[in-house]
Amino acid sequence: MSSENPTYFLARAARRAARGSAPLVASLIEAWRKAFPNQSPEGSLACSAQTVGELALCRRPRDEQWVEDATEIAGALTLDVDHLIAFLRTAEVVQQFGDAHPAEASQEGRLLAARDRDEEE
Amino acid sequence: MDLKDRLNQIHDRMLAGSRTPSRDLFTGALKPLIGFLAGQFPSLSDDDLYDLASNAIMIYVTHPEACDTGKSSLWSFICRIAKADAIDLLRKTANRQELLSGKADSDVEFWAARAKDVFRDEAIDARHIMQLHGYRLAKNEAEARVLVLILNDENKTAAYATALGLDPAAPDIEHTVKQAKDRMLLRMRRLRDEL
Repeated sequence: MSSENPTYFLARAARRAARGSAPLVASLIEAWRKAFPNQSPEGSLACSAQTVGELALCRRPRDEQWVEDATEIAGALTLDVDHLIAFLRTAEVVQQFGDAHPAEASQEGRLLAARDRDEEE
Repeated sequence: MDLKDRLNQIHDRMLAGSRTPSRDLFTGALKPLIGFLAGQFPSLSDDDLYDLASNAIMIYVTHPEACDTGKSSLWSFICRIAKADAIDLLRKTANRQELLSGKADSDVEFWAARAKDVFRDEAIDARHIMQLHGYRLAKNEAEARVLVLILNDENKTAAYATALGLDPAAPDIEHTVKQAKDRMLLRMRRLRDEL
């Protein structure tokens, strides 16, 4: 994809933002993608890839005025507010679950269990 | 409305708590910032330029309160961050031998890579000072190499002897090196006092 393409620029910025500490929606989208690898944010939100890229670069809704913030984002990106709220709530849940139960730790436990069984055999 | 004014408006919205100005900053400032960096650091790759620009914006977005538009614009703020990181990148990646042999692409890069990076702003100030007044410190290639070693906190006598074109094993080399270092440090102090 051409680096002159604005969608490319946004998508690349979103990917970097997802890995960084900036309080952006990007990390929520990343968590959602990992939780639902067979679905796409574009399909769930009924929007284009460029809009998802722009959504990723918005700041996350604040806890104290979550719905108002989500509504502001939906308005700016012309997204359906109900779809966006459902998407972001789901993403927050899977992200919190992922933080509480990191994949590496659970995998490590599984490998240890498998090794124990080998030794017993 | 020009870019600076548009970005300052974005900053005001950031401070007011709006959720979408970060998106507007990326869409409005990323490409101009890449262009700005490309002009300053022509030897950096497209990927490096892109990463430096997007990192600068993300640093701002993470702590927007660090930018005081009463003192300078948001555009200047993110340019300063990106330039400092570019200098840091050059300093980290540049091969010291290549620098010592003077093969850097431009004066900006030559001195930028030598500016001791302690804090962002100080690194930038040092770079500007070296651009403007470096010729007063180093009057020939050997002195330029000594200056580079001092700026890089080199403390080995042999490194200075080599930079001066002398045999590191020569008798009294420590005294000769000390004289050269003292001369350079004196010039640096005088320049600092003048500035």
